[in-house]
Amino acid sequence: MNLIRVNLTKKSIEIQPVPTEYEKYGGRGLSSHIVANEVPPLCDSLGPENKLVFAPGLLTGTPAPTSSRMSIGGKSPLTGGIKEANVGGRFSFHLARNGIRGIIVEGQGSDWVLLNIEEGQCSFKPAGGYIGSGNYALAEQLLNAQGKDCGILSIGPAGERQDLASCISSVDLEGYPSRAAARGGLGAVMGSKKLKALVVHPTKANRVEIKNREAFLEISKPLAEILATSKTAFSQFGTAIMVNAVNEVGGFPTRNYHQGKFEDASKMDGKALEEWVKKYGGKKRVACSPGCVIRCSNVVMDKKGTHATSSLEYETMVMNGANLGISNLEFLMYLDHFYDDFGLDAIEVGCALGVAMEADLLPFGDEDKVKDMVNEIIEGTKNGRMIANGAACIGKHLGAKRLPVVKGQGFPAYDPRVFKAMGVTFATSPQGADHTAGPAIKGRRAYAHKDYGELDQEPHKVELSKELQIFTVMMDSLGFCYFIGPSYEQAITNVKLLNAMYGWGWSVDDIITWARSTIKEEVEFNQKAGINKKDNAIPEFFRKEALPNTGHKFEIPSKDLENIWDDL
Amino acid sequence: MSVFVIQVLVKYLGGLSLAAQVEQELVQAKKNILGSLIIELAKSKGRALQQEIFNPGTTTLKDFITIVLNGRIIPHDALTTAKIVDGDEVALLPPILGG
Repeated sequence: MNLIRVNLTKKSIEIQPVPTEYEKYGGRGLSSHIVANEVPPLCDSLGPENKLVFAPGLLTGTPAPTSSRMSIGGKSPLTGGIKEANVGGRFSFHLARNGIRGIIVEGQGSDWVLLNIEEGQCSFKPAGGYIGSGNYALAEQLLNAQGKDCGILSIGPAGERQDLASCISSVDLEGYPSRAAARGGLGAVMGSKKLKALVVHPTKANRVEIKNREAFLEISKPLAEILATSKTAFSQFGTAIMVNAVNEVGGFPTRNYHQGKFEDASKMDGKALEEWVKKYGGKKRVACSPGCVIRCSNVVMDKKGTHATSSLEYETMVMNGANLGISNLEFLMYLDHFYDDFGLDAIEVGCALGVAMEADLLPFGDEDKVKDMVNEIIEGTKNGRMIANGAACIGKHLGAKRLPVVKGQGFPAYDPRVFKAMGVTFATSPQGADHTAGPAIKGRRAYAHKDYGELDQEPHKVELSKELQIFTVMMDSLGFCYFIGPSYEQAITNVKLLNAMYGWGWSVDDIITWARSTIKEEVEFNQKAGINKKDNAIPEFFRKEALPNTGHKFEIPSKDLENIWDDL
Repeated sequence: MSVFVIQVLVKYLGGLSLAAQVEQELVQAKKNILGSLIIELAKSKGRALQQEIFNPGTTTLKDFITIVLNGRIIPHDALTTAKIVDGDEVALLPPILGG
């Protein structure tokens, strides 16, 4: 496998075998290792010293199910710390099959370019003609010009403008740029480098080698069967299936976390979405990336039967629905499409809009005012730009007292007063408030034999979050979707797959040590960048304000959050 | 006809609605204990729901199943003592796995 090193200042491209020091890394492990080794922690995130790393997982391109996720890493302009944003779509699979373990983008260009990867080779193409283009139009043009099966990563106008909530979009299996490496503003980093897009062509010769294919398939086939049969509700209803359950336990972010239950949740739940999809001719049970057997994505049509958006997900629906006091499914489709097209993180902007509503910039529940704000984002007015720069930015400007933000990054759609371990993850992840960094919610147990207590009770939640964060690094590094379930039991399967593929002879302890070392590198990078233990903190209002329906507060001691990584 | 009627609204959320083949229903409980109600429900709904919520061959709830009574999560070890009264709402939640 090779590593592509692109320097945009020098306009140079080097393709070399993966160096020895990087050869046991993939996905998040690789991106974080490279960023920790090569990026000065105090550098300007939007300057030439920052690097952007695109890394398929160690199992990507193989028959292992649901293993085609990609990690994109760099120094985040939103958090000021290390970042890994994870994304589906076609790109990672095709890149791995081209024999590429990762792409490192360095420097800063003077002219807009795109990178073209074909049969293991990489070249520049001018991209000036695409500037100002939304991701949808860009994807259509590139797919028409380069081939309909290509994988594409791109930024929209938000990334070009270096808005801090901008994402990197990935074309899905349907050909829509609907998947997003959303969190942390890595779209702004890509924009700062004047890199509009990367295109990878399907390869004629698969360059992914599996040393012991028979042993590999003995593990991967049953895993695929279990996943396909155990996640059927997810396939049928999509991630929106979570709406009613999270609302029922009172941890559903409503009106900037003032409430944990939304009176109109049923208008935007999995069933409502499924009925809409059935009625207007959309698709459900859609895979977000090659080889996914969970297939929780969807394609949503509008009332005229034309494409409205793909894929409408729980996080987008809640942060832009209940969090804003809005329950109109059609409106959420419109917003989701806008975020994908303009290239914005739907969680961060939804969170920012909630903060803006809290501060009376616009009223809760007013769809028209949100539409006006979308227009302001597009036009680049002062308020529009601040919303597009995230919850912390607009909150500080408006003097908002209730800021659901950790390390500069807005909260996802779980109230930490009920989802206690998720709150620990939000507070302590080196990635900032990120639900994918250690998804410590009901149903997730790091070790099957351990009792971590009810999800809304404090005991054992620091332990659960910490263990899940480590196992999630493992999943992210292999290219697995975290919906498979980060756990010790999955680690046993993962080690067998790695050993069959690479002939490493690893033990489960080895893979845990390896995952811990990645977290350690991330924490150390952040410390050098000025993010320290004290930043492992939950916003104070979650400790002071009880949720009206349940009376829950977040009461895990601050010291426990601060010291979580002391023994790495 | 008993004057001590305990009628509760039972909601089956997420994938459990597929197993129960209903999203919610009014149920007359035979006893005023929440744990007993859960066992009654599983019996009446049959094998599909039992497989979803119970450990194989038992009436012990799988760890990741959540029972909510009137908006409050009831720990599994409290199910045998938690009382239900007429008009209560009970929700059965599947694992909440991410989004």
